Amino acid sequence: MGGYFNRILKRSIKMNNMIKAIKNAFPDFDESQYTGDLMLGDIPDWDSMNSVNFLNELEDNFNVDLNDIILNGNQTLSDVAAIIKNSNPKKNK
Amino acid sequence: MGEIYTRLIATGSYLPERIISNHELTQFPQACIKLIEEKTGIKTRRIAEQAECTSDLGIQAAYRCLEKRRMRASDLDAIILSTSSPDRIQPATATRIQSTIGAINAFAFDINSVCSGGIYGIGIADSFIKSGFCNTVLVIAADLYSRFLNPEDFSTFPYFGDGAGAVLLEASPDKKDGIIIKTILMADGSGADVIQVPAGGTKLPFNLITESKDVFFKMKGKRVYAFAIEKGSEIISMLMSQTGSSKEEIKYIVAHQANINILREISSLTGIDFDKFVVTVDKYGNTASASTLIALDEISRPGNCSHGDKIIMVAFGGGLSWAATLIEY
Repeated sequence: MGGYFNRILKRSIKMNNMIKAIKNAFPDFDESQYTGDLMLGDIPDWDSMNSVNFLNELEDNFNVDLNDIILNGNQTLSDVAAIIKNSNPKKNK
Repeated sequence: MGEIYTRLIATGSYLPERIISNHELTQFPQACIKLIEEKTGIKTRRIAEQAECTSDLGIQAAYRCLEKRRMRASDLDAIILSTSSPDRIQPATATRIQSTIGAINAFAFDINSVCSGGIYGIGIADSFIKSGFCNTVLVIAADLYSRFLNPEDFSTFPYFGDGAGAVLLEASPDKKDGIIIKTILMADGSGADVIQVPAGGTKLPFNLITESKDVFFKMKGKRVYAFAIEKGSEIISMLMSQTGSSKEEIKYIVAHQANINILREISSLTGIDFDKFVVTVDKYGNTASASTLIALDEISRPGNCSHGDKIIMVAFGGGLSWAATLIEY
């Protein structure tokens, strides 16, 4: 039972971090849009330059190193989640 | 009394010495650095020294402009400074330029139409001259955006550079070379939030700031891009139609240097050859309202324009605002 709640809690923290990262990079993002299938290109004000700010926000919110990653508008939030899952922890500068 | 024309008799510009290349922007992931040139055309930009302020850039551009005509600053009737990065909230930055260059007989004031400001300044000066209110007006556009940019924001920081440009306009009884034929000024305040520095004014005073990033310049890049292409091409076509100008008569398009891809799109939409578009964004970045006057100075070399050549200057920016002017040689 405890494991189940922990998993739910962990998922909810990750979702909050993701929403926070999106909103910090794209302030006009409406949280009700949030689904794993949402394509990055459909986020309001998404463009390649802002995508770098989004990467920085993901690094800060998930404490991971995404230095070699470039995102594009055809990727979904699920794709981003997979990238985060497979990334290395951020090194302290 | 016969008709009075406004004639552009000299140009000048000043770029700070310090050149910063894209690869020197080490705060951003190296994998993303190539995006800067790819998406904007910018390779380098000039950044002012800490001791320099906006008026210092404007003063140098003013000196260079007056020197070309060997004109004394005391002969000026007015100085109009376009800037959206003033020395201080008050007084007008133009007044420091006025006193430093010794324009003792000129009144001086600032205008803020963000990146369209250089052309707004020409439009206002043209009206002052044609109405007989002034004989000689110096229009300066100076911007030092590096002070207002968030060094961590990839969607703004790489775009901008610092610089200043100036044009000298004079009343003329004849339609000689460099006549201002027509200027169109436009605005749409419903887009006021698209390009802005949120804090520091009366809407969000410094003492009420809760988000530190509100002190920095921000823009909604995608919307700015679409706006610039639509309004930039529309106003060029409007100006050509209202002045009866053909594409063949246009020698140069001196457009706001925001992004090389915007210039390409405007070229495509208007059907005007891209070769006619002056490009400085690659080496100076976006110098806000200074960009059109700097670009005009780059092509203002003796013999570069012959009788009958037409130059269209066009700009678009915060406000939202957009503007265009046609100069005939």
